[in-house]
Amino acid sequence: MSEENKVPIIQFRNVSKFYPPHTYAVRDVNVAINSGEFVSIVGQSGTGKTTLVRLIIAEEHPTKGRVIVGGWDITNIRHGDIPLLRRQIGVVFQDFKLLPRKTVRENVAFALQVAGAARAQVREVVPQVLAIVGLETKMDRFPHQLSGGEQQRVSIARALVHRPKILVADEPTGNLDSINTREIIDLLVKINELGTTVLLVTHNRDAVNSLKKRVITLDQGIVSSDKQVGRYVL
Amino acid sequence: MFLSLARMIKFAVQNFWRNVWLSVVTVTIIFLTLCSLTSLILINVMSDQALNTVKSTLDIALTFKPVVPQLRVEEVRDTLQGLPYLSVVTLATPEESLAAFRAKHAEDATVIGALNALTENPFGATLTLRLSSLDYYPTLMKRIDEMGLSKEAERMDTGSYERIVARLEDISGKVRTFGYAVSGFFALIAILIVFNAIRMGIYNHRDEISIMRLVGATSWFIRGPFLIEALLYTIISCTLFWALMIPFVGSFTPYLNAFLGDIGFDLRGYLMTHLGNIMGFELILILLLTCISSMIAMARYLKV
Repeated sequence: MSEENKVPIIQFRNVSKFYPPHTYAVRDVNVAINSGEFVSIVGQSGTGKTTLVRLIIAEEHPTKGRVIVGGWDITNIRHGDIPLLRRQIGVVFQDFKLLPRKTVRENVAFALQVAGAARAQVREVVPQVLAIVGLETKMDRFPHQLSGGEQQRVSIARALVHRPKILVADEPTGNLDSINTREIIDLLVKINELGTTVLLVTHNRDAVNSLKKRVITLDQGIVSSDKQVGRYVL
Repeated sequence: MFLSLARMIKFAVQNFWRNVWLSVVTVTIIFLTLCSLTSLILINVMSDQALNTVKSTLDIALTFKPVVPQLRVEEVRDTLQGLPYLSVVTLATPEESLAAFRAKHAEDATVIGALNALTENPFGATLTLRLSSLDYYPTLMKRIDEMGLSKEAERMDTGSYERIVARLEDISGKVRTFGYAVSGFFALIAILIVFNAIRMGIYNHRDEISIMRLVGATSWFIRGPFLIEALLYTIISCTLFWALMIPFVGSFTPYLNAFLGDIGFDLRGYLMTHLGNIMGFELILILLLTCISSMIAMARYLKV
């Protein structure tokens, strides 16, 4: 890892998220993720993995502690600044979140259009990101004409259109079979190798073990282990 | 910025067409609101015109006792002519009053017979007075009293006119109140319908909205199409309404003129003269209604 890559791009400093009356989604989390890292966050359902994702994209605010993304303290981020933050973070979910009445090209272009990108930029960037995910030949298909893995790749392409420094994938393989899972994990690794920090939230044991990269394990909202070359151990 | 505005307009138009029947209902209700509002405005103007016409022709007949000398009557006439609030003061001598009475009842042999049986002219002189405004009626009565005319006058005919004016004002007030109530009712329905249309739009676009938020669209970009949709409802309703209203008033005015007779109110002329003001007022009012209801719907259902 180079010196540049050791700069923390995501920091959780003593972060807790409390939901009344008596539920802590995460508690006293202290984690720093460096630029260019590929980190898997694992744990059983309800251990606070998705809460961490929601804190990173300012969908939630911590009850205690500070969240810093790209050197920007977003703990009490102003409402008007949230779109700027989200253009720096690509997010992928288990359910793809594609628009069924738009083609692959239109789904990806949509992310640029709603952020005010010029037509020329849309024309230039969309084919580029679709080439990265290997869908350059299926740009005019609709989501229902694609396999689950291909749909997730469209979702990843959409997450990449703003050229984010961070890609957060929340259970991206949850709806996929083992072959498509492998393809998506390989794609995430490829994106990471191109310089994007990847945060993979999953409970897919095989995927995590095959990566041989950093693994943070959550157990009942608390970081129970954080290993540079880890395995899915629960 | 213009590109974002163009995209917001595109989303708004999409939403309008995706819920086309709801859009039609919304436009219809706003159209009905405009109908009641415009009717209210025109009825107000017409009733004011009718009242002014009646008031401007209100004559007070002051009939003197036959024993009052002509010179005294003329003195009173001259004094009254000097009052600024009387627009007309005319004197009819006892002879003229008798002649007028005979002419009026020429066909009635009984009345003429009774009149011929009299040895003296039973009529006194009559002063006909016309106020410039009915508001001066109490002032005139006070002045007549001060001049001691109540002893010299045989009668004063005003009561029926007063009652007519009071009745007209009463009817006009009731029509106005009814108009306000109908307009208010339609405005309320319009608010609810627009609110529901925007709510449906938000529901139908929930996936797009969720993705917009995820990929960093600003709050204004997400909310903008719904405000533009409210603007679309307003513009379409107003355009449709005035496109139908102007020819309708044009063809209706001759019948109205025939009906109103002496009042002589030119509805089409009035409308064309004040078209800009009325349209502007209604456009702003409807725009406020639709924008407020869409903002309430967004505050309630659109979390960005």
